Amino acid sequence: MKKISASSLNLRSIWFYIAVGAAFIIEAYLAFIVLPGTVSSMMDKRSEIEADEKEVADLTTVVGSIQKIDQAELETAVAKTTAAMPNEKKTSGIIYGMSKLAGDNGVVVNNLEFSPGLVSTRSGTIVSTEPVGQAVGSGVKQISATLTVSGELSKIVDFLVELRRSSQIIGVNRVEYALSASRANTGIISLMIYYQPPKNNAQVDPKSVPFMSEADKEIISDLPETDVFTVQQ
Amino acid sequence: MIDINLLPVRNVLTQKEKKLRSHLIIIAGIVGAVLSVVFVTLFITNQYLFVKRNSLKTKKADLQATFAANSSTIINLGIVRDKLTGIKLVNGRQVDMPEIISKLLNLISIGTEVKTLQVEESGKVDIVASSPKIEQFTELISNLKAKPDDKDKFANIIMNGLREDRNRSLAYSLNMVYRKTK
Repeated sequence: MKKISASSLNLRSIWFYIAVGAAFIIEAYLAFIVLPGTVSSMMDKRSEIEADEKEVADLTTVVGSIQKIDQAELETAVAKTTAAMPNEKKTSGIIYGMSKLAGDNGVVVNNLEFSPGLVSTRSGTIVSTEPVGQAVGSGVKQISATLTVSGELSKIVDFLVELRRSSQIIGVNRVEYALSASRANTGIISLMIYYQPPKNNAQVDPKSVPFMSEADKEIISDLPETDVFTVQQ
Repeated sequence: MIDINLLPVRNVLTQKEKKLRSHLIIIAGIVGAVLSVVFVTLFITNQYLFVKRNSLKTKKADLQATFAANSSTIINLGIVRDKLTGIKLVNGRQVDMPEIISKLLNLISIGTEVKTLQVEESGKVDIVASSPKIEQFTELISNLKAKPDDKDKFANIIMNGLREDRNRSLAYSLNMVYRKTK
């Protein structure tokens, strides 16, 4: 009888310890295996949310700024900057614009030659091959031209002032003026004509939208309104 | 004589073992309760994060769609940026040629005639002129002499071939360099 009772007691104790042991094992598994994994996954989610929050904040700012842009002002800026730095050589436009500017300032254009290649007004028509642009940097190319004009020195200076203020940026490298014995005034002006073929701006990162700064707007406002180097159709 | 234990077997546990069992149950219970609280908190937080992440994803997608819808504005801004880069580059290389010539012409007295004039990008100026009177010539030379505080000036002035021409005017040529300090 005593032997049986002890055996039953031992069996119940074993079950108790197995149950408590199992509970501890499960708790340890939850505490040391499941919990760190869950916390780690939540931390990842939190980091992802933080990154998204930053991106949303940046996008909100960018989209807000884009929506505030004055479209008319932007279109004017595109027109003025493209006139100042055209997409192509526009040789016929240059001939037209030079003649107009010179005429407005009392100077007569005798000849305009582009090089390398040659486009001449001497014969009254555009002849020969298109000049080849040379790279300057930032996608800007230049072609050289020589302009021969007739007119008083003061008028030639007025013409150069107007040329400097004109819609397209044209550099003057050298000016030669001569007054002949027959009182004929001749000016030979070496020009540098700039243009900039367009880049592919189709893909723009929201982080690098090129908004115009106040300094940029100031440069644009100084550019003339009318483009004299475009042949009117 | 035989001793017979008539008490139930379950009551036979020693006090020490009873204490140990109750301690084990209490510890397991406390750990279980703490873990339950932790997991419930984690579950709620996880749900909150899930909802927040989805809401952010939706907002981000909406903003990206708005951004894409404004692509023409962005392209135009890119054009302006590129053109301004080119304009700034070229403007930095420009020499104000009309300014040099105007400055020189302002120094020449009335009556003096410019026969030839060459101005180069480097600021090198060569001029051949004639003045009917010596005073006009001396006035030009005096005007060309720069003051120490002049920001733009003609320097390295060299005079060649001062002579009297057929019209009894003084003919001369001057070589100089125009310098401008910012």
